Amino acid sequence: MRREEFEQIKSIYLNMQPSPALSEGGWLELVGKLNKKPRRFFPIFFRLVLTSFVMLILAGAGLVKLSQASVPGDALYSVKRLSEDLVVEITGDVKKKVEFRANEVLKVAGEKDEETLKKATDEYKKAVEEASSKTRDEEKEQLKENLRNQGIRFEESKRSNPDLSDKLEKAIEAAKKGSGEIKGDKDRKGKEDKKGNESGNDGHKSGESDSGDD
Amino acid sequence: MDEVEGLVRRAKKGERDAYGKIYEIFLPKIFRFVYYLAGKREQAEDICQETFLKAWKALSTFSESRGTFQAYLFKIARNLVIDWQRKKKEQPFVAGFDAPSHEDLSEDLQTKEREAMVWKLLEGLEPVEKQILVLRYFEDFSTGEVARVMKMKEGALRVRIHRIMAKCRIELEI
Repeated sequence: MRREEFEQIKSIYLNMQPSPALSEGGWLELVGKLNKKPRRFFPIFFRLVLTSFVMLILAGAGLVKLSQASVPGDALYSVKRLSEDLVVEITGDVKKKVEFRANEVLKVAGEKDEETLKKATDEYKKAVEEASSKTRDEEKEQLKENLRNQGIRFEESKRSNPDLSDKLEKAIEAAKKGSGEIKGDKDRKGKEDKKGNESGNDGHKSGESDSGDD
Repeated sequence: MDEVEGLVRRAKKGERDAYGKIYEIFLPKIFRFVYYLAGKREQAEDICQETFLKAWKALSTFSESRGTFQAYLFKIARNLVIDWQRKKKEQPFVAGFDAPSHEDLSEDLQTKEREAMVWKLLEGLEPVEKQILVLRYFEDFSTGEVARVMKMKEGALRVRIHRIMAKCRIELEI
């Protein structure tokens, strides 16, 4: 096909026009169907909700990160505790809670903040008691080990901060008691039971023998 | 194209008058493209209206960075023709020549003969080839624009154009 022939076909194509009805009335027919404003892919309300949600998540994440350095008495301390509770809830590891509190005690002791150290020690004590009662039997050995290590770290801190020794001593006691209670609870209970039984039996036996003798 | 860009920006803000100008500019182009694909005047006019309605509704998704407004409109029109062909199942899109019905052909014999020349050229081509030929050589689209409308890579499009030229024995520069 020659270029001239092709150009002729092209001009025929380009001359094809819509009917006068469409050319003249098409727009009037169409304009009635158009909304005032082209529809947005995401409606504004949905975009606002989405943006707020993302911002909330980002703000929440930022707040949690900021709160990690807080200690008892700080404004963000409750946020930190909430995030830690969430971690403990998800992992199911109550031992982590004790670890968090122990680190707090050491941090506050390092900062030589006596008043906060008292609060931190109380929190640590509570955490040890909670962990002692909630830790599963198979994990108690691990908890004991952790408490022993924490006790050692508290001792080291006590040596470096002699002026805070009475407060740190409470933490050391809690750690020792915690590790002892786990073992002691069972052993002590077992021993007491055994002792009670033995003494009861002895008494009974002696009574019998007495009456027998009589 | 600057005028169109300005009109599109105004239309995006909801100015229907600006969209009316766009309609005026593109109606003849969209009509002839759809007409030579669908082969029926009445159907072509319906598809044209649908194209402009759909383009308005999705106007917020149009971005100049992704192609021209012309390519955006033709892409919508092409998709609507394909949908129509599928729905009607009159003549599958791949079947080739979409013969115009008798009443669709111009009453004027001379015009009818002239139109037949276009149909004759297009009849030997596959639907995709037909669209490429029309867009590239009748509507003078750039290869980038054709590629956008046809959802093809430019390299693949060039190969296709070579084949079309060979098929029609057209001696044109690509």
